[in-house]
Amino acid sequence: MDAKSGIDWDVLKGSLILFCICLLIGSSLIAGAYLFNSKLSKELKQNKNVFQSISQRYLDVDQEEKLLHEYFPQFVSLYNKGVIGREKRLNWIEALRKSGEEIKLPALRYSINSQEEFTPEFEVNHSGYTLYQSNMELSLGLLHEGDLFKLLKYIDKSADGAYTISECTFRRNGAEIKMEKGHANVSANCLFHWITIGLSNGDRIEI
Amino acid sequence: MISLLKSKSEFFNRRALYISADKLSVYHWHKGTLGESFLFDLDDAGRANFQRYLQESENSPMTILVDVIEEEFRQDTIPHVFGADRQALIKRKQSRLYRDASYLYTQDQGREEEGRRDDRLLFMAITKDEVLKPWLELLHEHKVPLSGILSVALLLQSYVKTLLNISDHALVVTLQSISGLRQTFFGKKELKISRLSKLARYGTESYAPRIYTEVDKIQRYLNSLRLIPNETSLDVYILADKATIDELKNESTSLPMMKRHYIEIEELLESTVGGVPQTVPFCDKLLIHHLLKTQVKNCYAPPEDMRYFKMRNMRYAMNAASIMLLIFSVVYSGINFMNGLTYKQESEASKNKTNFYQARYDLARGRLPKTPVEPAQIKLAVEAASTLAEYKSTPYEMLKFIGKGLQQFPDIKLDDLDWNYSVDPNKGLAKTSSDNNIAQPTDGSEENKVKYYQISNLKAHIEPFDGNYREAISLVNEFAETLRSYKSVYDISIDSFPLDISSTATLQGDADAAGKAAIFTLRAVIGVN
Repeated sequence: MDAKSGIDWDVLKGSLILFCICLLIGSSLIAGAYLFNSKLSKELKQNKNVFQSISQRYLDVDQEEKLLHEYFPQFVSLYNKGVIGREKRLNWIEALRKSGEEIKLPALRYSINSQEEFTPEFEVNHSGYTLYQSNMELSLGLLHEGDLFKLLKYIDKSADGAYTISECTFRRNGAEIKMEKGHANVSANCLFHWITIGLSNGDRIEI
Repeated sequence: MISLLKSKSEFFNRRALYISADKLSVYHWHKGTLGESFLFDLDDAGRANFQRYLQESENSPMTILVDVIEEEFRQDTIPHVFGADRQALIKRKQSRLYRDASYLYTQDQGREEEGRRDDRLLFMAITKDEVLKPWLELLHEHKVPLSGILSVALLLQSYVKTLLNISDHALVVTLQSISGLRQTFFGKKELKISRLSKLARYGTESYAPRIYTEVDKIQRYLNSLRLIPNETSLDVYILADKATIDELKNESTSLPMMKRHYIEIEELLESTVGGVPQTVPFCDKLLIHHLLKTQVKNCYAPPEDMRYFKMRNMRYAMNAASIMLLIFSVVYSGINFMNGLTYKQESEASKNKTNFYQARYDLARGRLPKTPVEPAQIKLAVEAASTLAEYKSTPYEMLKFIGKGLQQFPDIKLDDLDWNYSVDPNKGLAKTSSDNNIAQPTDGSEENKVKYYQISNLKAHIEPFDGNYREAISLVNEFAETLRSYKSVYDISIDSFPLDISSTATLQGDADAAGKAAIFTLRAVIGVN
């Protein structure tokens, strides 16, 4: 007997033990059943999703064949050109060097930064892929503005990759225009972005 | 003496311990009916027998019904207050009325109709603790759950409510085998006073003359207390067996201002207990039956005496909770388990179907070339590359546009040109700039077709310049107008003229301006389809 509270624990002992046992059994049963149920429910959901995916793919296999027929050659071509997959920096440098020699530009300097993620201003659906850019700064000495377009034409023809130019500045060198070979009447600085498409999960695209 | 009374379940069983000045009896309530009863003397032998009874009987709850002359009744009033104040007032009155009594009870009997309208209370007490103490000690020793202590007078108050046509001034006369004759007066069915007197042993003499003598005494006492208004007769209800009632009827005693009502116990027992033969005038069974059936609320027992009853209730509550918990958990887990099995079956079926379609898909896919990504992703990549190509920008369009304008104005010589592109034609413009400088589309329908804009800020000078600023400004305006006339233009704005003639500018110089340069700047925006 607890003199302070007036409770005789001998009277309540049996019921307390029974309650504790029932609580233990009950909570174990509930927890076990809940876990069992939620595990199987999750498994069912997963299996259903897999089934829906595979059945849909099976239904879409003709469509896939059509897509491959239509787009796979282009995909391979873009891959070979360095637009999809790995960028081809060496090829760009070779193209620049050759174009400088071919066009006989008075000056041509370049610097290429490390590759980074590209977020275009315009809308482009690239889910599953990430767009990358390598920024290339070109400093040119031009006899006249037309030399720049000759250079771009040469790059388009011989360099593998997709690029866009975001900024250019042209400065006239001196008051007089001298149409002499090797004289730079105009200085131009342009910022090129070489863009490549890679998988979002970081895997390499290999063909 | 006592048969083994322990049963498997004592949940619905209960007992009554009836204590008088001479005897003690125990009644059992079993399966909804009044069962066995046991009688004990108040001497040492009786005490030992009772102790043995407690050891051998099941530990069902027990209610004590006490019928002794040591029970007192006092009517009093207290101011109409509530809560702790009321309790304090009642306690003070109780301690004043019954100084050493431990078993006290107060009944609220409404309010006075006049004056302060004080509360009317009936203070009751068993003035001699020794009547109950020895038996309560035994009950505590055997951990008997005590559900309450009542007196016959209080029990009768509960019982008369079940009787119809009881008048407002009723004296109920009952005979108890172990205590004697009890006369209890009710005013408007509320207990006012009760008196116990001894009776001779049953069968030794007729009870009728004694009953009338005692009734006459109490009538005079009630009149002295003015509990019965003047010119109002007292209704006396005598509960007894048929033989005693016949004796009472034959008795020629004259009792003025009194109406006699005889109620046969056999009839009452038949309607309540159910056809139990009764040949004695005593109400013991009737009262005990009412007590155990209706489980009348405790009156005298303090909480500490009822602790085993509370613990018993706690025990049953815990047992019930345990069972409920177990049932709930079994049902809940059963439902979940069944659901889980259903999920498992469905999951297996889904897996089989997946394997079936996978095999067919692999077969169909085997015909197609191996690709690094899914066909849908291939299409997406090609389309993304195509979009990038569409938005490929070079300064070609802008230089062509400016060059076309300069061809018409050979005196304008281009010095510098900053070019960039954006999908926002206002890129680089301060939001706070004046309205004149904010680029506006030249053709709204054209805007929808534009993919992006090429923006250039050019700096040029007029050569030759003879110092005629009017002509120079006019030439610049003409040049701007010419550019504006081209199809691809979005906006042309002159940022600075050869001479700033606006009112906000500070203007100073030499009147002979020949030989100085006429430089201007211009912003051109063109849309690219």
